[in-house]
Amino acid sequence: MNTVTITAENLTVEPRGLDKVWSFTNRLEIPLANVRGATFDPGANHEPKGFRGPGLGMPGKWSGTFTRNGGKSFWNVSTPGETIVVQLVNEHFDRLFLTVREPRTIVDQINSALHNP
Amino acid sequence: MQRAVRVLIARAAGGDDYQYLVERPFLTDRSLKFILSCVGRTRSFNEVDVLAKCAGAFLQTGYEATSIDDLVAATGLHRGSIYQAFGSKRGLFLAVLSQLALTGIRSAESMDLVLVALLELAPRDAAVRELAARILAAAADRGTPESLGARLLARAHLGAESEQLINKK
Repeated sequence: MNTVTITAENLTVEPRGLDKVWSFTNRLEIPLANVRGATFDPGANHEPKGFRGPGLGMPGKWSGTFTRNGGKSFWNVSTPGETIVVQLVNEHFDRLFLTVREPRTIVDQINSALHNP
Repeated sequence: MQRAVRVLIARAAGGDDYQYLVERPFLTDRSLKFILSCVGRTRSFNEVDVLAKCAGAFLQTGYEATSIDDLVAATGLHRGSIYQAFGSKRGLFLAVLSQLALTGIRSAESMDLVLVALLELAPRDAAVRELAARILAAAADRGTPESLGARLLARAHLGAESEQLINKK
């Protein structure tokens, strides 16, 4: 589970509780200019994730950095849960996969905060 | 390692990685394959074709109810490629609408697509609202409230009968 907050300039993702430990991540600060969009996508949980490291991979729970086809993505997903996918550009991660509470609200908030539609 | 290879290639090629690599006679097929897998593939789909297929999916189930899984099935692309190319489902829908703005409203299907945009995204999304307004303004007689309403009823198979139904009650 993650806490996602949107300010005027940044998108902040904070894994909750022990997820901080599993994902080796305290918080991610991403300028909104580097966010391309967010999508509510529960089906993404079943996507091949690639090589794990550093992070945790268990059936139904993936936390940390995964590399696939030369691209890095950040996962902090537990099933059953509601996953959103955030596509980034010019960042360390190409894509974030996050389980959040109220996914549709957060997706709408992110998309309406983007400077570049 | 992958990053190092990518930086090296970008520096040597000055941007056009793939063409540069393919023209190198000193690379074996195997090493070329390895390097290309590090670089990531170049985009190799017909965007107009993909947008048409996505428009079909949106027409069938609307915007919200169309999942990325549906779009993956409709286009045959990988989930990652969809995100890479369009950023999000909203980005894809905006691309579909922009395509429609280029071609203009020509068929009943394209009118339905505008209706989907007006019903689902336009109330809460300024970019979609603006695009929809532009499409309607350019469409002249097909963009009037009357013709949109008529199309909505015709889509629900209530074309001429709707008035009779109301009169019966």
